[in-house]
Order: sequence, then C-alpha cells, then structure tokens
Amino acid sequence: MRSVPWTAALDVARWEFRRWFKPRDQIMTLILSIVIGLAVWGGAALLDRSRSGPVTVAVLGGEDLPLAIPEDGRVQLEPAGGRARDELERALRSDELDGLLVISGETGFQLVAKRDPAWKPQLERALTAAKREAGVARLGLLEEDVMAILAPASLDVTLLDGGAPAGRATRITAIGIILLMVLGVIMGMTYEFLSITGEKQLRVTEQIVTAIGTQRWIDGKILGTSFVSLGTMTTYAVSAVIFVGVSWLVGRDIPLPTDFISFSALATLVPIALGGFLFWNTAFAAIAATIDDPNSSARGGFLMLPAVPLALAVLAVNNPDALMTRVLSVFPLTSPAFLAVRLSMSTVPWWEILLALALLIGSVLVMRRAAGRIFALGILMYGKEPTWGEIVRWARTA
Amino acid sequence: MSPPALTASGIEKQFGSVRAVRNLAFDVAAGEIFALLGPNGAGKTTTVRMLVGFLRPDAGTMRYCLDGIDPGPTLPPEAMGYLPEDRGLFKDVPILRTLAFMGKLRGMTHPDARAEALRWLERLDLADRKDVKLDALSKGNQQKVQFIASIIHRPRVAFLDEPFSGLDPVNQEVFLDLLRELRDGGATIVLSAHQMQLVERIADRILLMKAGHCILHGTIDDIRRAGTKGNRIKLGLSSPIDVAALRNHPAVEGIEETNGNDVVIVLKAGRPLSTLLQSLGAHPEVVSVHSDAPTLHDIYLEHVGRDDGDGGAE
Repeated sequence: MRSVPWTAALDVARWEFRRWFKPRDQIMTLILSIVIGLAVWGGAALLDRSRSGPVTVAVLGGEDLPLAIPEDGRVQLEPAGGRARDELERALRSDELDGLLVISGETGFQLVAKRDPAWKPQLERALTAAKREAGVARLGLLEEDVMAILAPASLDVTLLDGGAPAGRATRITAIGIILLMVLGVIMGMTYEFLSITGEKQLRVTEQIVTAIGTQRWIDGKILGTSFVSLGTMTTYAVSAVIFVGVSWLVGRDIPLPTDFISFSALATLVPIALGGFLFWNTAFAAIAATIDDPNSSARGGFLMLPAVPLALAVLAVNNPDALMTRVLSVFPLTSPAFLAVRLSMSTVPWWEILLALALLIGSVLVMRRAAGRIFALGILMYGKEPTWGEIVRWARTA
Repeated sequence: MSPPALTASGIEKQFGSVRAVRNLAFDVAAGEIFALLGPNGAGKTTTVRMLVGFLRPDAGTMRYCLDGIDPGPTLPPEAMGYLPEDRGLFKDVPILRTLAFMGKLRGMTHPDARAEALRWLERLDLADRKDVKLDALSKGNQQKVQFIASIIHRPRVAFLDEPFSGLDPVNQEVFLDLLRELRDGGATIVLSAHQMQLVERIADRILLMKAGHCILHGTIDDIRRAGTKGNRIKLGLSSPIDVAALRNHPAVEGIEETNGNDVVIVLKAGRPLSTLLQSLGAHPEVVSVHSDAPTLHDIYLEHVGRDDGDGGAE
C-alpha cells in the first residue's frame, strides 16, 4: 500500500470536527446555561417567597417556658389567652390559625396542624432554645458557658506541604470534572458511531479509502471526534462557569475552588482529557467498524464501557491518595478519570502525571493500529458481522 | 507506441467458495474508454475494486503507467478517480463542502477544490443547489454530485462502476458527453455498465465477462468479427419465399421473422449479402433490402445468454 501523508488524517480530523462540532449549537448551549441559571434561581426565589408567609401558632400551656419568637420572624407565637383547646382547634380548621402548640411541662410538646408544617424546624429550634434557657436558669449556670460546652469541636487541618485539604468546593469540582468527561465521551462516541456505521451503510467509505487508505481515514476520525469531545467538555465547563456567574449575580453563593482553577491545572487536565478521549474513541472506532446494522447490532452495548471507570472515579473523590487510586490513575483504562480527580483534589507528583500520559499515549498508538486493521476488514463485510475470534485475529495482524 | 496505462495479468479473486474473478488479463491504452461488460455476478465490480486498490487480488498483477512512469501497483490518489457502484456521500453536509473535501483528499488545495466544485456544479446545472444537503436532491442530481466527487481532481485514470445506473435518457446523454470530455482531456476511463447501447456509442474497447472470466475482448469491430452472427437483413419480396430452403442456405445463420412477403434473415459471420442475393434468383423478386450490423446487445446475448444469474459475485 502506498504511503499517504499524515496531513490527510488532519484533513479528515478537521472535516469530522466541523461536521459534528457546530458553533451555533455551542452558543445555544451557553445561552441555555444563562437561561437555566436564571430559571433555577428565579424558581427557587419564587418557591421561597411562596412558602415564607407569616404563620400563626397558638400556644396552649408552657407559661413557665421562656419561649421566644423564632429568629426569622416567620412563625408568630400567640398565647392561648384562656381559650379552650376545642375552640383553638376550630380556629385551626377555619384557617384563623396555622398551628396549635400544646406544651406540658418542659419536655412535652405537641403540635396540631391542618397540613404538614414546612415551618416545623423553626419551631423546633425555638423550643430547643427555650428548653435550654429554662434548664440553665434552673441550674444557675451562665448561658455563655452552656453554649461553649454544647458547641461542636472544630478540627483545623494543616498539611505538611502547606496545601489545604479538600473542601466541599473541591469535591464539587472533582465530580464536575468527571461529569464533563462523561459528556465528552458520550458525545464523541455517539458521533463516531453515527459516522462510521452510517458511512459504511451509505458506502461513502469505499470512495474515500481509495484516496487516503483505511488507517489515515480512521486516524482522522478518531482525532476529529476526540476534539469534538474536548470541545463539548469545554463548552459545558464554560457553561458551568456562566451558571455560577449568574448565580452570583442573583445573590446565590456557590463555592469555587479558586486554588484549582489555574493555568497549570488546566494545562495538565487538557492533555489528560484528550488522551482519554483518544483512547475511548479508538476503541469505539474498532467496534463500530464491525457493526453491520446499528439498529440491530448487540455491540452497541459496548458503548457503556467507559461508564465503569468514570463511575469508579467518583469513589476516588473520598480517597484521592489511596494506593488503589494512585494505581488506577496511571493505568490507561482508568487514568483519564482518576488522574483528573486527583489533580483537582490533591497534589500529584509530576512523575505520576508523566507516567500516566506516556502509558495512555502508548496504548492509543498500539490500539490505533489494531483499530485501523479491524476497520479495513470490517468495512468490507456487508450483511453480517465478524465474530470476536475474527476481530481478535485481525487485531493481532496489525 | 506508448505503453498501456493499465496492464492486468492473471488476476484472481475468491470469496469463500465463489471464484469472483478468474485469471483475468487485459490492458487499457492511455486516453481510451474501456468498458467492462457482463451480467450480474460476472465479476465486474470485484475487478474494479481490485483496480482501485479497495480489494487485493489473490493472484495476478496490475501495473500502471503514467507518462512512461510506473507508479507501482496502485495509482496515487491524485491520479485516480473512482465512482463506486454503491453510491453514497455525506447526507448531512452541503454538497459544495462535500465536493471540496473530496477534492482535498485527492490532493487539491482547498481553494482549488472549491473552485473546481463550483465549476462542475455550474456545468451540471446544480450551482444554485450548492448549499443544500445531498438528501434534498433528486436521484439523478445525486448521481451528478457523485460523479463530480469522483473526477473533481481531473484524474489521469477514472474508474466508473455503473455510471449510467439510475439516470434518465436526458442525463444519460449528459453523462456520455462528460465521459467524452474527460477522454478528450487526456483521461483514461475504465467503466462497467449494463446499458449496451450506451457502451456501444462510447467505448473504444470492451471486455465481456461471464462468471469471473473474459469471454470477449477488443474493439466493437473485433467483437463483431468474433461473433458467429453476421448482419441482420430485412428483405422485402414480391411474393412469399420458401423459408425452409432459405434456412438451409450456407450464408444464413437463421430466420428471425417472416411477415407476409417480408423476411428477416441473420447471416453467418463473414458471409457477404451478395451470395444470398445471387442465389435467390428472380423469383420472388427482391423489392427492398435493409441491412444492420449486429448490435452489442445481440453479441452480449449470444455470448452470455439470457440467464444473468450465474451465481458469481459482482
């Protein structure tokens, strides 16, 4: 077979990227994130407003308890003022009251309400405070001393290398990165699957491979769809940032791990993500080339495979530096997801990053040869699919 | 004399138990239109797929020669054009973009490929449809786009598998003109087809295949001479003739039709009409004579028979 220049694969990659990564769709996604941000927080504000109307609760008994109006002022406590329980329950039924609190002693509290009270926590807090205050007064203690005794212990962690332990924001970011990678993988494999099986059915492939050969064609497809994956991931990442920005604008505070969002972190994450997309898209290209009819082939189920390491990587969020997590962050099948999690949560030694990248690139190079060989023979098969034995045999001849 | 643009020697291809192509040997001169003819399953498409490098032959060799230079067993992509039998292009992409991409894959620069695509679309009355997707075009127009995709880069050798299939008579004429234009521009064309009357009008040489091997090869005249049948003669006579005596005449291959005083005779190959006319004598008197050389269709049917399904592989 004659040698076809590498530039042909780049031409194909550019074609595939332009074919599937449409700027208009990306802009729509970004606009949608603003709309969703406004809708989510607008909806939340409406919900808050709808449930924050004043609530009147009649209190029967408990005259000795220093019961105060809860701090947000929503729940208004009204002494029964000599009215009997029956009368108060009638007032409750006719919506003159929202609740009836019956107190017996310092510990017997019963709430009668017409419907499930959303304001129950506020009332509970008020009762707890009143109960505590009564106890403090009875024992002759100072309120400040009691508060100090009851306050939960706070553990201030200092790491030897000077870094800070993973907080809530860091965990959210790590899971966010996994979700972005899931989106990238799904988009890439969907387009690659559509592209390869569709072109095989439409017989486009025959005309093209006589021009540039099967290896360059599949190389270009893998490269193009991997950049589609990366582009999709970037769009959704920007979209998430826009969502956070919109949230800030409407006064909602979403924590961001500012120490992670740095040029060096992104510069490390991008090649790892791209390596992962290349790895999975290479595997999918080989599988897709063996599928005769995508509507009836059972091999479509293999598209779920990347979900396994990505789902496992979520578990790594709880223990980013465990031995198994470190091993899986250099193993090519799992390294893109695990390394991305560790990068966002911990300090990863540079040699581990280099080793993971080297193994990932090496496995992609080996797999692309096998995928090219499987593709070359798979596209000649019409009306039936090769057996797994045949596929393995083809791959071994690569 | 310049060497052939393509020389195929002893090429063979087998799929499982089916021998699709058997010991096929032929050459194609530079600048000629060479047609592969044959029934379904004769091995035409398999032969074309081997010539373009899509399939590897099990045995035999194929050599190319471009301006006296041997480029090896396969042509460089910029020198070869290929229209596959099974048509298909990207349905979700505007046709101008697809054509420019196909030109780029064949070695053109993007601006050149785009300009050439526009020129061809203009030439085939599709310029106003350049931004529509393939699906939006009629079958005939899709065929035109497919054709442009295969020759946009002005190939030195074009392989066209069934280029006339799906075309109406008007577009068949358009395609005949395009093929002549390509040939006159110096391209060598190898095509496979079923449409005998079209092939007869355009092909310089023909290779007739059956069950994977060559049964006739040469110019139309060569092929006519190789046949057993001569010209078809329609005689207008003054009165009915003794058909049995006429059938036994040494120059007559057979009687095709009798209608009143008229009779249609097929002469044996190489037998002149004059010997028949001399032996007819004065009774009945010959009122009119109409003579037709055997068509390619006749020759095809004579050699291939009316049974197209021979269990081969295209």
